[in-house]
Amino acid sequence: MGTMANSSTNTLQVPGPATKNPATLFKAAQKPMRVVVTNVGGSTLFLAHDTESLTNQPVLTGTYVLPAASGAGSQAVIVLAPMQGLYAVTLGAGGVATIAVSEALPVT
Amino acid sequence: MGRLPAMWAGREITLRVPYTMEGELIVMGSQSGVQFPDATFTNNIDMPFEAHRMIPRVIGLDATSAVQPLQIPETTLMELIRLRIADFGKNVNLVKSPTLINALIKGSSERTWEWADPYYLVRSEGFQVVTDSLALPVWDGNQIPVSPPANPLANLRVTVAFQGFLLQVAPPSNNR
Repeated sequence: MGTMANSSTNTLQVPGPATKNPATLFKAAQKPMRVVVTNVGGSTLFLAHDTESLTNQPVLTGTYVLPAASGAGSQAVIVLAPMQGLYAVTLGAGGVATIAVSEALPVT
Repeated sequence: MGRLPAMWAGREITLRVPYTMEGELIVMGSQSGVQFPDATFTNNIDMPFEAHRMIPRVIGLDATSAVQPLQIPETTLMELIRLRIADFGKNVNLVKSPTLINALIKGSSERTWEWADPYYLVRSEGFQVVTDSLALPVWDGNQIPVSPPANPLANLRVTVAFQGFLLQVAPPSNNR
């Protein structure tokens, strides 16, 4: 294993607002990680670094909102501190998020 | 204790407590990217978890999510689910790509993914397990099948358990 953490990609179904279990998009390990999140579902996507902000209704405070995809899909680049997580729920049904993860400060 | 390590992180292992982390998920056919809840496979105990094996199981359910009395052969059920397993605590994937359960387990007699070397999770480390399901075959769960099926296969319950030991190490620590 080299000094740079492996990049990865993933696409996940994201549950609706009534869930007590938001989707875990990614969690950083020992290194800061950059996550590109794109909303490719048909419903507004709410992102947060803690699950409580996403399970308490209504879901706005403490979250970052990616509007529903219309064509290209809305996108955000978020940097995670070591051990920090990124979670998601959607406003309605049929939420899908796609992510591309790389080390935030690559050292080769 | 046989071939099991006597030390963990330079400290003596004084006790092994049998332990399992298990999760259940109901998926329909032809779904992708359905994951177990985040906390399911996270070690939230102040002891290192020494995992020895992963035990995957798939159970056929009808439209009401009740277990079908007559099940499809288990080898077939295990060909319907792919798993993608990652350890967020170390930023490593345990499978290169989503892998059919049948390709993870050793055989029909020992239906587990045995790890020759134990794998360790310290507190707040855990596995993310994401499932893909293939198209479900037409199957009547009744003892006497009829056409069309009276009690058709509609969902699958995917069960994943990580089995091993919690380690008590000396001297005890607040962190691990």
